[in-house]
Amino acid sequence: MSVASQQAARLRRPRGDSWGAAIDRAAGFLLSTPALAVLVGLMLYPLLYAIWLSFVQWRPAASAWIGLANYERLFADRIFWIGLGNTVFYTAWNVSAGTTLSLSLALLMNRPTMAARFLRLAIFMPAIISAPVAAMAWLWVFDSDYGLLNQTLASLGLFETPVPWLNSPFHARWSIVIVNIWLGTGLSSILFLAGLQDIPKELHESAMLDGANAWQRFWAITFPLIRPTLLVVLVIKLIGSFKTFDQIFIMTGGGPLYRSETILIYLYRQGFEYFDFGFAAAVGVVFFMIVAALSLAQSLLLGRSPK
Amino acid sequence: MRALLDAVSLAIALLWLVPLLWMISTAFKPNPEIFRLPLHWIPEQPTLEQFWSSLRVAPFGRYYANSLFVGGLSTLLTLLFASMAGYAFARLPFRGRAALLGGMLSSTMIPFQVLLIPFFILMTALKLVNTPYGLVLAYVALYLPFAVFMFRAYFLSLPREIEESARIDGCSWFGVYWRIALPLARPTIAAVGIYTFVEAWNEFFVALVLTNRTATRTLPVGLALLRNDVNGISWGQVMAGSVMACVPAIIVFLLLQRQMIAGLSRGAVKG
Repeated sequence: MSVASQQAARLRRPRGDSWGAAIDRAAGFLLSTPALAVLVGLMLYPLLYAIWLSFVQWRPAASAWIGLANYERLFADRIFWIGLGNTVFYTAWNVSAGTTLSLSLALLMNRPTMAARFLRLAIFMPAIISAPVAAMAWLWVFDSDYGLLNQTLASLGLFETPVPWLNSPFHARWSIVIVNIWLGTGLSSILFLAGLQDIPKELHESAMLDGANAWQRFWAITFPLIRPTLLVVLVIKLIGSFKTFDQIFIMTGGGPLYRSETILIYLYRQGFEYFDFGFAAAVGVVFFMIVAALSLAQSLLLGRSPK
Repeated sequence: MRALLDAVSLAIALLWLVPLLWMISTAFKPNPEIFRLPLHWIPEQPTLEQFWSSLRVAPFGRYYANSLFVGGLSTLLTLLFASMAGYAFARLPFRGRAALLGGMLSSTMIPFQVLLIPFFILMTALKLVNTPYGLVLAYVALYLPFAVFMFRAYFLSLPREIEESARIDGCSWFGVYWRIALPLARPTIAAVGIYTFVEAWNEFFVALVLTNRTATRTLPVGLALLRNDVNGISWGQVMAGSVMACVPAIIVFLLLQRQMIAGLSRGAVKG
């Protein structure tokens, strides 16, 4: 920093007209002005606005200050807790099963064959087509009467009565877990693959000469060396799962009977179906505090600030 | 062993693609074939009828144009603002730079969902709800901090000599940024640009909140709303619409796989 400023000072030569020289001296500030404006106007101000909103009963003309009433109502609402519980449920499955699956698939992808390349492409595809398209495709697969899944199960003689994958309070949550994992595995297995490719081949070769089998090599070499990547993937999945909205909103809208509800669907309903902005802002602030705590834990865990 | 692992890989890959392949298969079937049991994979009479009828019931052309405009403009603005700020952060010390950098860094911890309500009120006041510009503002805010850090890191990695000699020749800092640093940053422009465009193209939540008229909806929202058709879902049309919605992203991906994976994985690590 000090070297940079010395250099900048040395380079700051007097220029022809003083007007141009003044602008040139302010170049750093001027160049960052648009970004500063976005930061203040579109992030900081809305954030403070959201916090203020959470303490009022919102009305277009004059909002009334009601203190903590929004929060009290929120914490007393059974559906909020169902939503929070489901969010944790989805997150737990994404982090545990999703991470295990991603690592296993990355091990399969980390081979120099055509099949491995094809696997890489296939697993990454859901991340490309986006959650809304994926939700529509899965809705059709899950359709009770003509859906591919039920028809296949029936033709295999596994189920006689069609399974209501998205319409029963029991099945909806599990169907969403499947879609969440399907959508999220591409990115994390690519991250794992990058980590695996950084491991020197010599380590595996010499371990093989010493007679270690694949299982022993995985736990003695691969796993310790992949741990930094594992940490990154766990954190991404943790925070990403908390923010999941698109596929759940499109496939079930939180139903049936709030059984697949999440905290964000709850926020959407309060804000944009009931237009209870003050209350919805309180939901947002609680959500913000949870995610900020997770992000903070992330930067402490990874030993660096998020970038 | 190798053959076995290859077979397992192929089997998993095909299984993984089933929902997408089924979507494509359905999109090319005429209506009676879609609901004929037992189900079959290859359309017996392949047809484009579903595509034409989905274009008739929903203005997909409009959605396409909206997504293209919103995605393009947000990407352009993000690249411009981020490269400017990234350059200033990397090369030009000024008062308040550290604070601004810290603010940018902390802003990545704010989930945009908490900003949705105030954003909606703000955009309503500015009469920007139901316009592409409201969405563009939101997307610039959403993708800017990450882009700034990508550009800053890149400019920091460049050798200073070219810029210094340009300064000695009397070039202003704006000239150095525009004529020397920016052309050198082409790889970062590509990576950040692809990332921003694909994210904006696929974005659903903000678009759902900030648009409620056909004329301004983007593709993901228009597609999702086909679900609520009062006459029940016409699966052929919906699948044809889905195919149309994801074709551009898939083409970009197949052409620019490496940049896109790099951008997406770095984007995810930002938290």
